[in-house]
Amino acid sequence: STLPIQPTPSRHLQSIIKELQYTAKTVLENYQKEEKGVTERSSYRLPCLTSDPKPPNSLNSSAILTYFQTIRPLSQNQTLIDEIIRQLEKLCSQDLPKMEVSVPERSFERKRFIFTILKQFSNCMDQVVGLWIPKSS
Amino acid sequence: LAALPHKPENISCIFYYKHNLTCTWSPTTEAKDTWYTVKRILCHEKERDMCTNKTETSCFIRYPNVTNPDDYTIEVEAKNADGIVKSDRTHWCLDSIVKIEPPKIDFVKPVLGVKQMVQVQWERPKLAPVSSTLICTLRFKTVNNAEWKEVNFSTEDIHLKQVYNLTDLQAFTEYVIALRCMAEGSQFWSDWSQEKMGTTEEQAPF
Amino acid sequence: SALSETLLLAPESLKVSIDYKRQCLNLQWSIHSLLYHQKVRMIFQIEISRIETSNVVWVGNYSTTVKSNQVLHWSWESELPLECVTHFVRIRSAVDDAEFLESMPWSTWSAWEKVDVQDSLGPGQLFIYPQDKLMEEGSSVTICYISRSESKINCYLHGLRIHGEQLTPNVSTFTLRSLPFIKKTGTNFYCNTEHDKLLNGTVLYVSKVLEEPKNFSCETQDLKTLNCTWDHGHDTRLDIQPFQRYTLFESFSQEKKDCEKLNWCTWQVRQDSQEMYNFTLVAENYLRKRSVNLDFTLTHRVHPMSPFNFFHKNVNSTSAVVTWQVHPIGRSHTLLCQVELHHDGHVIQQKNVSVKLNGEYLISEMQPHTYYLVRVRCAYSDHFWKWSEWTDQEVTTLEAAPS
Repeated sequence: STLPIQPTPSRHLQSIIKELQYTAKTVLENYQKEEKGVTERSSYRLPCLTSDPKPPNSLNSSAILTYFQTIRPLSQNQTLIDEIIRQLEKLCSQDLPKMEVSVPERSFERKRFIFTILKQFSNCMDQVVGLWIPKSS
Repeated sequence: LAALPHKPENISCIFYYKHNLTCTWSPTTEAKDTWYTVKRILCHEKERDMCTNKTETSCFIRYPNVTNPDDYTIEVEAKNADGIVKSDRTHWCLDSIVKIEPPKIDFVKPVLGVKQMVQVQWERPKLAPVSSTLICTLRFKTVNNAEWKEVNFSTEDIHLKQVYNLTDLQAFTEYVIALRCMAEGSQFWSDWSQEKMGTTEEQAPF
Repeated sequence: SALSETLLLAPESLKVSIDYKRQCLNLQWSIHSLLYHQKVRMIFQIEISRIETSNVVWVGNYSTTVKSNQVLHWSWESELPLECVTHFVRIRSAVDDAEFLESMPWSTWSAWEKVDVQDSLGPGQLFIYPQDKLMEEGSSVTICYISRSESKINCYLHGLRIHGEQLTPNVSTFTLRSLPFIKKTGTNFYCNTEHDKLLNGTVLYVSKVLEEPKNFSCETQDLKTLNCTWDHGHDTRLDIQPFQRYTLFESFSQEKKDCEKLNWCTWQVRQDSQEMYNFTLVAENYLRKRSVNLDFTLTHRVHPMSPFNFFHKNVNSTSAVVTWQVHPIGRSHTLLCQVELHHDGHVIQQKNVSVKLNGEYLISEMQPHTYYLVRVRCAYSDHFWKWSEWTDQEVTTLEAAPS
């Protein structure tokens, strides 16, 4: 028999958030070093982790997850992107419909799109850590 | 006479952080025609197969398909021509079975004007969970002494370079120092770091 | 004759279109005034100007035989992206057919055809062309920007400041020579305002040059499958050139196979026991095609698998019998096997044994109570190509009986 799907235990949430913050920063720094001249374009908007009304898993990442699944095939360092995807899957409530993410056609603009997603995700994780993890811990 | 495979037992798993999750079980020597399938059930998702149709009694799943923190239920299925036998379900919290890489000691040096102490600059293993506090054991002995002494400390700092002041030493003496760490809550220590030497400062006669 | 009055045959209905991908101007025109049945050798002169008609940048001739109302085509590749500036094209013609006329007066020029894409650029402060250019390492490219910004503009290639040449008040060009391969995701060329705000950019996909496959060789272990290997040299794959394809063509059977790997491929030997093979290995990416040839006789390329089930028996103080098996090759072929006896790292005995399937050999003159290493390898008797790998076995002779 298969175990019922249980939401991620809350004792894991802080660890997941810390791991995501660290990996997000690493991926961003690597991409910045790799793609000289590419900067953020504010017209691209990545939704941050949303609060899911259904307790106890009050963090939901399905919107962000779709973005990372979209940029994965476009990235050179897929291992770290895969790690982010795995962690986001733990914060994802299953019932939200899949959304489409359109990617710019031209390469340079696509790189700006990817960089913006990584930048905004890193900022998002800093905010979430600030909200969820008291300074002392 | 039908001969079902032996029931897989003594399942043990280690999570080599950012490398792989390795599980082994007994009986270690099984007939050649027995195949194993390891089922990994994640707490936040449906069943997910780990290793399928293998004859060895071990299996591993590579990072990033395994990321901490997570809780897994692991079940091993043995199969031969005569049938299938399942192990008991075992439950694993990755944080408790994570094994990290050893830290690295950059240098050991005396601090000017501070007697009977050396400063150990070391590097937090790059591959260690940033979400975990590290518990570390520093062992030291004088060069020609066989017996090690140990001090324990913990660190939440995730920066690479860290410093530990080793005090209450003999003056003007050369020490050998090594360091190992574990993620808080884990059963597994890292290996010891490479040993480093350092000498305490000379003390003026009274 | 009728033709002489109409010898000043001017080109008409000149149309010019742009092939952005190949950066080409495609021209088409026709000669209406030729009589129905006539066929005339003609020469066309084409002038191409940039920015203004007086600024002619290229003149060239094109000769061909023309029939009445035939639509003629010709294209011109520009080193400067066609989006950068307005281009003008005109054409004139002359009969180039000695059969009709000794001298060949030119017709009048057609009107200048204007090719201008500036209106279709769309919104934006700065436009850079070409976009997503694929090119080989060592080649050159001309880039331009079209600016609608008041700011002074600085451009960079992979972080390095690049200085351009101003064509018009709002168009500048940059000629980059002998570009190196840097990374699979391409080299970024981008322009910022003087306050370092990014305006726009493009990616130059510089790929390694596809090399001719080296050390191309094929061999078989069983006369059923050929294993072909080669050194592929540089990996030329990039984000927008994901393929570096290798294809095997065999001329006798006229068969071909697309290889999945960069440096090896298998080929199934047909049942009609084809003996001679003439392979062409073709390497191909978007920019280049290379090929090498290899011909051989199948039975001259047999590289047997190593012997197996290598055991020893009847060991006494001075001798031992070793037995082994070989994988069958073809219907009934013989293998030549070499047995070596080693002691202390030295070969102290060596013997050749002919084998069909099962090999056996008595090693004698051994020392009592001594450790030996015995090795065996085999080769195809009909025609030697390569030895198989060694298979080895440890043997320790018994103690000599008290004499």
